[in-house]
Amino acid sequence: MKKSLLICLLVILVSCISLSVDLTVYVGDASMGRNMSKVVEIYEKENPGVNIDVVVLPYYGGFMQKVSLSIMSGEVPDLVQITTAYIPQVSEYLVDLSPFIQDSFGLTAEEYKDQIYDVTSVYLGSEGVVCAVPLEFTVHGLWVNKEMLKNAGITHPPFGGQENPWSWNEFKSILNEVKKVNKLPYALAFDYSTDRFFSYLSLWNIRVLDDDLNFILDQNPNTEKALEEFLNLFKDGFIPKAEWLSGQAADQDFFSGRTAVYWSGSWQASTVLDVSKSTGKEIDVAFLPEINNWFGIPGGSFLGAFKTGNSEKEKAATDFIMWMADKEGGYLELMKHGYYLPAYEDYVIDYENEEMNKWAQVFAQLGERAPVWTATSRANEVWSRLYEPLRKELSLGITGQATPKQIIENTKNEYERIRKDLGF
Amino acid sequence: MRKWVRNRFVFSIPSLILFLLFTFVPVVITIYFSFYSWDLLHPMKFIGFKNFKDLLSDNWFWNSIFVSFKYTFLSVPLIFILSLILGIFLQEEDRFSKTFRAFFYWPYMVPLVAAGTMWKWLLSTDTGMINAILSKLGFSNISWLENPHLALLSTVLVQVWVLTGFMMMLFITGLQNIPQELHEAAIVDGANKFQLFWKITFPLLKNTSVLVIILSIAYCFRNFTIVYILTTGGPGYATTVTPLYIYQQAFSSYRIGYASAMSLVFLIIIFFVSFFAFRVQEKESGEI
Amino acid sequence: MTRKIVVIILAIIFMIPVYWTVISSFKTLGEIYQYPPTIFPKHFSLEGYNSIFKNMDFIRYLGNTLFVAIVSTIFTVFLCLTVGYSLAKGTFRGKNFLSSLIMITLFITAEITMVPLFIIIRKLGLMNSLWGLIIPAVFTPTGTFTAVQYMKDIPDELLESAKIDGATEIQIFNRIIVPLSKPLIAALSIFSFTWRWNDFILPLIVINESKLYTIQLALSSLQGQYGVAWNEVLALTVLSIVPTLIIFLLFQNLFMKGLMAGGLKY
Repeated sequence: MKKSLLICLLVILVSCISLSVDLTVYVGDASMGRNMSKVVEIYEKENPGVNIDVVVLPYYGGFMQKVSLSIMSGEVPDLVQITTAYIPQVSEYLVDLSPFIQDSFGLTAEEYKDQIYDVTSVYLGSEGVVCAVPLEFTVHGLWVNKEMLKNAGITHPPFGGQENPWSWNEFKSILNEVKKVNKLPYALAFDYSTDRFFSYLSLWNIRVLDDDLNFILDQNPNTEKALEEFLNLFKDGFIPKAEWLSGQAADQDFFSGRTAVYWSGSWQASTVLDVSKSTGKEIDVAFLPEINNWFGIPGGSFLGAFKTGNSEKEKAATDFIMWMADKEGGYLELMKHGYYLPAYEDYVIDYENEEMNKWAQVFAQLGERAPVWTATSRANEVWSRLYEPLRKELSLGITGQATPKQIIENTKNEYERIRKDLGF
Repeated sequence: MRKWVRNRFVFSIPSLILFLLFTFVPVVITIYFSFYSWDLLHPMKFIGFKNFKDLLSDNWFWNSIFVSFKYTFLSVPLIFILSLILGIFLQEEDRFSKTFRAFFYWPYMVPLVAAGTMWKWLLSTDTGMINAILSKLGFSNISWLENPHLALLSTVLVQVWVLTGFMMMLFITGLQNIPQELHEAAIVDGANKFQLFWKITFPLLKNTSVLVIILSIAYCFRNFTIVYILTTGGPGYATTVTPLYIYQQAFSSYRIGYASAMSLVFLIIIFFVSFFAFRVQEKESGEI
Repeated sequence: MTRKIVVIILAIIFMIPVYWTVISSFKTLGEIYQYPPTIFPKHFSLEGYNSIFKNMDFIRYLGNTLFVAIVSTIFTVFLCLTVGYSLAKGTFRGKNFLSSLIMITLFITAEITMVPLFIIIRKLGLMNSLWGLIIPAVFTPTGTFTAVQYMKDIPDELLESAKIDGATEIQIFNRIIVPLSKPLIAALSIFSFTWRWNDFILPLIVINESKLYTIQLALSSLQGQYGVAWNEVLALTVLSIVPTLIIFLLFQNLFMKGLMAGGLKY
């Protein structure tokens, strides 16, 4: 009698234990981690059997090392928040979510991807596959110090007095003007980032890689000129050289008032709101200048589940992802908490903040105009590996150690080596 | 077995086991990796000596070795002299010494990333504290971190700032080990402070000095966090020390094999240099 | 008197960055971004600290890091004393070879051996545990080398005469070496605590869950992709350097007390 009672208790205990599932999600950004934690709290309340541990890793010098090591050892986390920069490297290790999307929303993979901006859905896998769901959508754009622009009598598009973007020459003279009138040491802050550079280069309609991942930077007749114009921005004193030569923080240069314009993007929104509140500086978003075209290149991150082979955990992980794939569900919570732009087309969110709502419109416009190739030419391992060498070459151009021609050639050599390493 | 106790080998055994497992074997594995092409995510590819051939013609690698040597051999003498002076000044166990030691050791206690960031805030060309003060005084901004020579000196400055306190503690430990009587006897014999130092103290600090020099050299050669935070290796490659270059090749360019090969070559080069420096030092000082 | 002046001047110079960090940790985010930078906060603010305590399980991370640092230090001191004695006063054949071997590893960058170390730690089943931060780290070439050089200064005659008196090796170690090594033990304790406290690579590759995070890991995770919350980074940095300072001051007193009373008499 006692024995069977004991066995009964044990069975109940064991089944209770197995009802609670512990998941881990690796996140590459502290504020995303916090916002994710808040959203996770909501989910855990509605789904008491699940515990999700949000593990935040340092993005630069940590995240990809950790993820790569996990993949190499086979001990992967259940979930991962991964950016456009890195998703090409890990997509083959993620669970294909299309069957779950079919079950949860009654949509095929392609129908689901149609709901998302083209420039984002290219990262989600080939035909019929959805390797991850989008989280925030980011778009490049200009942040401007309203007062400084006003002092120089400059109107900015779209909400600062003019509708159309500046032309490139107009943009340069504006930088000159705003610097002179406000007695600034510089005019423009520009992060030491290959993506940032690409957002400039692509305005010339210049591509680095074509659809088959061939190197075509050297085949465009405008490349040298575009490079020269870029380097001149430093040489003429518009952009602080320190930003590209010693990694000086560009956001600091802008928020401290040493520059009037910041070539950055939608991800700065919550910081801008914070800084505005505590310093009283009025900051607005402006369109990027029009060269051959005008738009803001996209970016963002995704939520995927690693193939772990543990069917119970994979089920719990994909359940959570489906909740995050519901744009009215977990997704909306995340977008609002982080002032993030949604990756779903024609989806207007009320952030309960007038400025943010306005900015979201501007960024949406910039993002909608971005051609798909701005995403596809970066959604691959070749670009990920070209990232560091290319920006290094550009910094050499700024010190005068490399001419535009040499920059192109050295980058091409690096490309050849990467191609050989990757074996195609 | 009993022989091991008699010749005191037994005392090495616990350390030896851990050393082999966590220090030695990783090096062996690194040697193994250097013959492969690997990016962590895909299977390794055996390529024989190709990595070594490639690094011979990699100009930036050899440049980084040159930079590393400059960095180390500018830092180490400064660290040695400064920490020795401070060690001598603060070797007593009085209130003043014990309090002030903390001010010099504290930089070493700060995590390196934080140390680099602290100095970056001060030295930043356009938003840094030092240039802000200089501008107020009417001087123009100095490109502490963009001028190739100044940038290197800035990284040396921070390195010296970090390491001096640690080396000072080593000197203090060594100085406190010198028996009082020797000093007292010499003073009775009429020796002045200077003679006291050169003829008695300094020779007795030989072991500590060797320790300080070797540890400083090793530390300066293997460390790249300070450079990375201050200048990201720039401008261009002017402050890219070898471990930084290796790290970037390993984790930004996904070339684990190539990075391993470079690590090996670098290790051999600096070991030989230090070995010779050590030998020369031993020969010169002779026996106490 | 001159020595005091020199020391004070140098101390001021040395403390400038630390002062800067501490003072900035009490500024608002807006003021941190301000140019020209203010030497003293215009508005004294604890928002960085509040944010840390609100958003982070700081006490737990502190506990983890303290556990790792203290336990490691105990092991490290033991290992350094034993191997230092062995290499300084031993007479076994491979002594110089072993010394040189250990010395070579002083020059190895931790980040480069990240991958092999990961493989080994995993094979030994130390992943995702605080012991995985302790065991791989307790043997340190730097500590070893320090101990060796220190012990070389202990006169051989002392050991000889003890042996003649019939002491066993263990007795010699416990009754002569250890007591004479008090300054070394103090130094090693301070160093080891600092090293483990500031470890970053090991926690990065070993820890897979938030509740085992160490302070350094938490601090570095504040450096995000899209920007850095400087007020938080500064606050956490200040919080993370206070314990090591306390340990330093504590250990200084503990072991060095009374040593100078009459010097080392032997």
